[in-house]
Amino acid sequence: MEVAPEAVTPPMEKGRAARKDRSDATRVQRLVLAWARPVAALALLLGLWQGAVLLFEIPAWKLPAPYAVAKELVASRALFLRHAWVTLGEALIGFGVAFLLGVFLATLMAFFRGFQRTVYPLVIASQTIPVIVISPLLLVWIGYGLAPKVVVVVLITFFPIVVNVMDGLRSVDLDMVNMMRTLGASRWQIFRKVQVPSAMPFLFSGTKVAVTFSVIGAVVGEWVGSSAGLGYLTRVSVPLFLTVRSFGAVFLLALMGILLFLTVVLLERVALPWHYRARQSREEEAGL
Amino acid sequence: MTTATDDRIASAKIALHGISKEFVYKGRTLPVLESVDFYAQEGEVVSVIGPSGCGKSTLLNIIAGLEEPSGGTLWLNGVEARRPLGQVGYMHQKDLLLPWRTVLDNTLLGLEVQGIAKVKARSRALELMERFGLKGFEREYPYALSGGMRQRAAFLRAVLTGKDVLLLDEPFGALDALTRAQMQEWLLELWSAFRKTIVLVTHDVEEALFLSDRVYLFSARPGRVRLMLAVDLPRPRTHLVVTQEPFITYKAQLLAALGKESTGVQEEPWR
Ligand SMILES: Nc1ncnc2c1ncn2[C@@H]1O[C@H](COP(=O)(O)OP(=O)(O)OP(=O)(O)O)[C@@H](O)[C@H]1O
Ligand SMILES: [Mg+2]
Repeated sequence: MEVAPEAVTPPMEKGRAARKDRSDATRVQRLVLAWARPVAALALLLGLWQGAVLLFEIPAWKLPAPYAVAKELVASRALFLRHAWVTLGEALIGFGVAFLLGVFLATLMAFFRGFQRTVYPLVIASQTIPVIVISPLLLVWIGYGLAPKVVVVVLITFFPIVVNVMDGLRSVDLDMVNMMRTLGASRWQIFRKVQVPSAMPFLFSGTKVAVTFSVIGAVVGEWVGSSAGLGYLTRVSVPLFLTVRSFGAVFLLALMGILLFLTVVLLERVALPWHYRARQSREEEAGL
Repeated sequence: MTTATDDRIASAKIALHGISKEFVYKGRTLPVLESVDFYAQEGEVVSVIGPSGCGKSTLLNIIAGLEEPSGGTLWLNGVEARRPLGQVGYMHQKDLLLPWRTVLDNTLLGLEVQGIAKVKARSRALELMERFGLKGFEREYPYALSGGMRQRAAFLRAVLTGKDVLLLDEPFGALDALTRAQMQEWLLELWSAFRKTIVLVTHDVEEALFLSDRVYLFSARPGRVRLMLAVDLPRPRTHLVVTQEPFITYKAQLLAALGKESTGVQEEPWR
């Protein structure tokens, strides 16, 4: 393409880009503020709990004080770590399988209407079965080891992934698709360059839900029959009057769920800067 | 068909003969275009104006191959074309920038689809960034741009397809009057640099006259060609022509015709 010598430069307008230079100081301040309040609320709650236990002299096997739980966590850290590791493994393997299966199914469903009509009702039906009811059956069918726990996790976590990815692939802006067609793009190019990217925020939403559920799934699996894991630890500690250990395990399960969730949030920010930053800028504009 | 029409079709970049389009929705039919004859010669700037909803965007969609006409024939480069996707550069009414791509990657889309090597495509795009007022914003995402910049990025994307026909659907629709006037002069300068065939849809009579060699005025829906006006103004043009004689007469002529169209209230558009 030949370019004439004089540069034809159109008038500049002030874009949103001009406002980008928000100072780092305020950003740090905002971050601290964002964390300070929930942390303070939690500290207050723990303080009240600790105070109540001391005041009413509640025995530790009924309700251990937060401080006692913390002490137990430190004292038996090797035990907790061993069991936490087992549960994390079950949750992650199950989530991984569900992720692959969910993305695969959702993609097929988005591509083939007939397939969607056949399979989607089954997917929904699979969610109406109470997992707690079939997990003893799983024990009978596939035994006592890792497999039944993974199956429970998959059953619980693949639903949010399928639903979100399918919605994402189908929520594509049809005008963008038409724009691609006028550029001469093939069906596959449109899928890769428009449908997949526009489904990514949905994929992450589904993953945030799924990864949190995966911990619950692993515990449900362990609850029915197991010899290791934090769910197992919770279950066997109560009859032994080791309530404090049970609380420690529950604390670690919550922590695990939160950390997995935050990991996905972080991954989303890194993988989809356009989404995160655009949303932030829109929210600021709307005063949210 | 007369020989004169045949000749015109053979030599025109774009030619439409007796094109009609109706949309069928829930068993009812909405006629949008009715026996439209239209052409654009190589290197011409042709404008289409008409009341809102008269089928201007539909006309461009037919030329771009997005919609199939219900009747009539379309020729591109003298060859009859059925659904000619990928043959013209098309800037839609909305900018349709992909939010997950930087400005640079958005403008490269056409070349990428054509399978042109990334490095080559990039250098071609970067060369034009300044000319399109996007320099320094190459690596920004679209949300960070102003409306005018977004439209210029969409425009650059259409130009970079390398097609010698450009369809522009209200390219300056979202701009204030001042920026708009500057953008119009800028478009004319671009046109003299690239000499593409341009079909421009607009609501604005002055814009149509200022930019074009010919103006088609469409009736209210169903859109028919009401008037075809050859704009005999010397090029290069600046905004000074707007206040001078032939321009004023043209403008009065178009406004009168357009006024008649807008007062003709359409009852029961569906049939
Ligand atoms: N895919 C479609 N299905 C049904 N009706 C449609 C479709 N596309 C356009 N129409 C109708 O056709 C008519 C013409 O639409 P078009 O977008 O071509 O108008 P326009 O002249 O570009 O209007 P504007 O100036 O407001 O952009 C409108 O009444 C619109 O509702
Ligand atoms: Mg339109």
